[in-house]
Amino acid sequence: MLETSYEDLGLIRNPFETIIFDEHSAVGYGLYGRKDQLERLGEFVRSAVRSDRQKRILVMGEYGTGKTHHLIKLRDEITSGKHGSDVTAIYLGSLGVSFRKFYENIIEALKQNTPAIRDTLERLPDVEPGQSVEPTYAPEKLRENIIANLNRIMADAKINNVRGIFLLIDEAEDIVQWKDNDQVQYFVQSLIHLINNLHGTPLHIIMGFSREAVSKISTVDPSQSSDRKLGDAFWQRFSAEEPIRLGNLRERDAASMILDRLNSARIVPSDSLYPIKQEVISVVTRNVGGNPREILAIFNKALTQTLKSGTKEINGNRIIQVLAKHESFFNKNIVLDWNRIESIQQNLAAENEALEADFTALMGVLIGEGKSVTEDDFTNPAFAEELTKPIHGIRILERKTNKDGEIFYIINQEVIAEIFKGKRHDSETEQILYNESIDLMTNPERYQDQLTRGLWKVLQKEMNAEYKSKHLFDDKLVIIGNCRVGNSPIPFSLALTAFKGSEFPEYLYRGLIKLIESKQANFGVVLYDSSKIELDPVYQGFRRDLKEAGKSVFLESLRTIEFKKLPIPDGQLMEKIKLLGNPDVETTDNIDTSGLLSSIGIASEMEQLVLTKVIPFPDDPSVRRVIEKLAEDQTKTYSLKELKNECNAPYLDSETLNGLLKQHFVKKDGTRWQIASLDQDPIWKLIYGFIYQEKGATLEEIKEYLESQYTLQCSPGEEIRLLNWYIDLLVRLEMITGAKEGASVVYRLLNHSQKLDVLVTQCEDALRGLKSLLTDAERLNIAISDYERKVDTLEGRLDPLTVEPEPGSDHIIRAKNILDDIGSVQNAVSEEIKSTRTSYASTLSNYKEQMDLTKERIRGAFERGIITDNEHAEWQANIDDLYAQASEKLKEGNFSALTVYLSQLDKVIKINTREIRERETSKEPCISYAKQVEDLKNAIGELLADLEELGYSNPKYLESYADLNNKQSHEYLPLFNDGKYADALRIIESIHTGLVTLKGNLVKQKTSYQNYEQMIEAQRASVPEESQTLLYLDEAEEALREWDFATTEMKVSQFQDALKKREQPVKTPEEEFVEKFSAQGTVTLDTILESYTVDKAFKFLQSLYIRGDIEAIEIRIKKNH
Amino acid sequence: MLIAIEFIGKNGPVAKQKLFDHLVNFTNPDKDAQVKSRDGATTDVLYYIREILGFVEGDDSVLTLTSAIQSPGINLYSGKDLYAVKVRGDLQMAYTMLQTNNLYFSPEIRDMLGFIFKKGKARRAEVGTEYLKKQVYGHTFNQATIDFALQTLLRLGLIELQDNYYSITYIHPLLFAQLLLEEYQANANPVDGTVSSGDMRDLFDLKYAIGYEGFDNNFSAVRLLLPELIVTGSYEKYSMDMDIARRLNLYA
Repeated sequence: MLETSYEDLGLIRNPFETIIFDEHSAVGYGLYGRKDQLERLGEFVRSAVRSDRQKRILVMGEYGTGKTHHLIKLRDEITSGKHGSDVTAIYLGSLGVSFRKFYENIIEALKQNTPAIRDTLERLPDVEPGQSVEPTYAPEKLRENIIANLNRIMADAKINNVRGIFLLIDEAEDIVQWKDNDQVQYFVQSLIHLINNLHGTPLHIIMGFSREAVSKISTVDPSQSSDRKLGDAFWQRFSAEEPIRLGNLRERDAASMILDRLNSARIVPSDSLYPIKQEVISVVTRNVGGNPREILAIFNKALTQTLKSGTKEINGNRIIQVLAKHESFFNKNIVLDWNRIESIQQNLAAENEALEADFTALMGVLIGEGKSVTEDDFTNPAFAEELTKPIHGIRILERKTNKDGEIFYIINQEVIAEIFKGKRHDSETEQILYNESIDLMTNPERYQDQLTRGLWKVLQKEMNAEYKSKHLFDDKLVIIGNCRVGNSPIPFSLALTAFKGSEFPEYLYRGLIKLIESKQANFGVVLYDSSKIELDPVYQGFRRDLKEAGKSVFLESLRTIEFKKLPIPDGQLMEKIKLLGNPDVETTDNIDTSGLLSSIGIASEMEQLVLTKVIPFPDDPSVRRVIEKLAEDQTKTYSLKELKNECNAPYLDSETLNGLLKQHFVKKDGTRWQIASLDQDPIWKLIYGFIYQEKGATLEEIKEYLESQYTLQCSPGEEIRLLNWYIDLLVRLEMITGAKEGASVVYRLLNHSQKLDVLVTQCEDALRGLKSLLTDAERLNIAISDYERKVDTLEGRLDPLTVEPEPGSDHIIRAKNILDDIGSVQNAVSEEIKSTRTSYASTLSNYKEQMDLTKERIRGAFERGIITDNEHAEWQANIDDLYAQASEKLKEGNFSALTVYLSQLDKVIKINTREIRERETSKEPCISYAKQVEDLKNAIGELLADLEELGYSNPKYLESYADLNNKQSHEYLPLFNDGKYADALRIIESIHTGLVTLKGNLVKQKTSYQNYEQMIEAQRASVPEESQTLLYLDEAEEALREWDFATTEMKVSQFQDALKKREQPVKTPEEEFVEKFSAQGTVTLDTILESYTVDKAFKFLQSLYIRGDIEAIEIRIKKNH
Repeated sequence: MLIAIEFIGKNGPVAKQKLFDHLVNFTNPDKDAQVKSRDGATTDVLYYIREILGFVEGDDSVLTLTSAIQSPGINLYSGKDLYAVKVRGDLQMAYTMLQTNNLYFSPEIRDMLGFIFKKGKARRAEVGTEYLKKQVYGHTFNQATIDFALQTLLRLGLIELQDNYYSITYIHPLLFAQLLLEEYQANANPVDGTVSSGDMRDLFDLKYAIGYEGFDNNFSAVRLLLPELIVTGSYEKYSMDMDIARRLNLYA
């Protein structure tokens, strides 16, 4: 078979084979489906350009999602001047996680992009550590040297008004693939060091990163003494900006990308997707999750195979063949299971070979293009319907009707789910699942125990449920187990069962209610697969007959999760659950229990129930001790370590505390823990609320109330112990107090006036402290208006409390909350002050570098004689002084003054640098001009001497000459001698211009004189002696001797007129007449009469005609005569 | 430990010092810098294989491998058994032998293994909270011994640590025997003192996620290791000999 060529398909090459992995390959291709991301990148760059401090952001995306492409496009945008000519960008990719290469690439790029600092770049010291450096310390030294050089570069960039350098770091793939973990750690640590040292400079960082790279660097940082993770330190430095995430493409964007690629390989671009059928793009995009590189890889293979096969279209058939061999980038599975297609084909062939042939012919359209077919597409129209019926347990097609009532057929989604690996298990499991589904279809109620066991196993595995007991109601299994909300140390018990059948299982539900009522379980849950429960008459009867207590249990403590209303639908859920619970099947590892748990949604359902219905009781005494300790002082926070020590709980860990957090026992502020406040709805709020409402209550009344509304999570008989613990907590929290009244103790709310006073005073003190902190912040030039508004709000919240006549515990909590919030604002301000201080320190450190660089230049200029001794000393002293002042102000914390000194220092550095540069560029031209001036002066001197000899004595030129000489000696020379070359150059330039003009004028005078002299001489020689005529020349000569060129000119002219007159013969009137008209061949009488009278005209005509000087006289008679 | 057993097995009766020299030479001196002292470490090894696990006998000048360990009711492994499988290159079996003698001679560690198994997965904090100051088979745990026990279980390959959670890697017959005994005590018919094998299979499936086949395999393994513990009755019922169980430290 002949192969198809690219030309046959309208292409000049394969448009899909180039993947974008470096800067060369990125050119020429667009980015699709990335509008938001590109906008955010642009916004980031704009904000960074406005800032003179470092900004950082991550571009997060998996392999093949376009990180490199984005970074290179951005680099090109920045370097092309889109964000200003004073910013530049450097793309840093394929570095092999080498920090040295990172540095070298920066230097190389800057040499090309930023000529202003080339000189500094050329003179940077070598970063390679010297021989004397201990080898183990060499990497650190290398890093130190690199960062010092980069600091110097940023200093010189600042001096030269470069407003920002963007480093676009694209090392995610190298980080993932690099085997030497130590090298990866060194690289990441080095970036952290770089950020730490240069964050006060506009060296901005945009870094491409991926999930895999994140996990690679999420290791313990060996350079830290604590167990701090390297990744954490890295993320922290990028936390100010939300990362830009590159997700996978939508179908529409994938199509645009494909079209762009096709057009890149066409001579004339078009909107056609040919040779690709549009529908296959959707199928591919859906089944590879929209990864751009993966989509291109698949079309690359499809195109290559299409060419080899000699066909001219990438259609559904081609795509399913490619997908059957394509290994997914994401999970390394083959995307399409060809065996499954074959098995369908075999099953069909066993039924009817013609049917199988039709299916095979339409397979590409149905699966590879996801399109519908009609019965006309089959050789036998009845085949379409036949494929909608189960064949070996599976329906191939689904029948659909459009709005016009036309019937069409699409592939059954279950077939798709099976064919495409991502949604299916291995074939053995699949086979078992088929068997399970057949069992369930034929006799569902028989397998109720397996369904319940399966559901239990999901909870056992995924929620770490602990088995308690099993029960049978009407032969239906119920399992009770202990579960937890998250990692809570307090378990709750759950009675669970599953049911699939036709009729509502009344006895099963009654059994569950009994288990809850008898406190064997806190809650019940039923996974229910049947027709609509509400329409079931048995269910309706059950609801009617429920007695009060049972009804409340049914409504409040029992949840029915209907299979048909699952939050995440899974068509095979019941089969999978049954398989898990089938004791005859030993291996069920391929069943995704986590996915099942999510599908059922039981965890969140239970969590909600527990949090709203359960009064928990921590079993573990050490956990109770922790809560009691925290309750001693609501305002006090503790670290985990402090709690361990103070509560004698050496094994307390953050997981336990997080569990308590989830159940609203505690709250967390950073790494510190505190008792939960009332606004977080802790459990004790229920008791507190009840006492408040009743204005006092006994233990029995509280118990009665709670038992009527909630489930006490304790063993029967332990209720009083549980309640006493909560009441003790409320007493510790100073919210209630108990007093014996008659036979029993009555609990009432505590009088809070005094406590509130103390808290209000604390708040007022804290606010004063905060205001003083804001004054410090203002001195640091921190924008404090937001904080001031917060202070106003806090004062507004505090004011009503200061005049509260009857304070209750809610007022105490409010006051404490205000105190907390003041603390939070205070922390935020302190944090910003700290960060600004370090930032100022970093800026000052960079100024030190700028200062050193400038001083070096001053010394160099002095050595080259460009600046004077005085300047050499003064300039350096001035810089030193300003820097010393700035350092002093930093120490004092006077940041307004620091800013002023830094601004002055900046100005002085720039002035000095400019001055040196200008002098360097002005001195040589001065000397060159001075030489020319000397030459001019010599020439002018000679000219003046010549002219004087000729009798010329115009004082104007002499004065002008004297002025210029004067200017040279009085203005130019002192400036030059003072080293003010730019000014001197300006003066010598003007002297030069003046001299050139003067010389020109003198030359002109002399030349004119000589010309006239020669002219008179020549005239005199050309005519014979005639005294009258020569008189004019004598007079001209006389005028010339007196340098009167005007008279000379006039006399010469008079001489020439006289000469002409003498030579000219006298003409007759007839001759004049002929001469007048001889130029015209023919002349009319009217023309002649313009110059002559009629008489004279006819007289001349007569005489000239007779003399024969006129050839003919023509007369024309008017025609009407 | 295996290196020490192999050395004694290969070189016949050896003196303590010779064994120590071998162990020291075998270790990497750099890594050893972390260890409190080489002598200390080697002394620990010898103490463990001689006094605790019974693989070695004899005084310090003539250390030899044991030929058999006399312990009624359980088929423990001798030093020579262990040496033989090591020479054969069957590391898996060598580990099983080490596990068996360890779990038998240190029932408190087996108890801890049982605790982790029942929790499914347990954090150090949970193990610590459970065992701190707890007396198990006469051994009172403190923080150091809890950590040591966890380390021992890790070294023996009986548990693994992932994302701060310990979980069991393998159900050793002695652990299974402990579970059998606990469930027997909780479920035995008060009249005839038996339990139904079927009920137990079912219970283990639900409670411990040990399927029917797994139950049968483990049950057989227990009968092999502890031949007198399970007394088979009629109608697929069995009972357990509580005297033997107590003697084997399967319950206190």
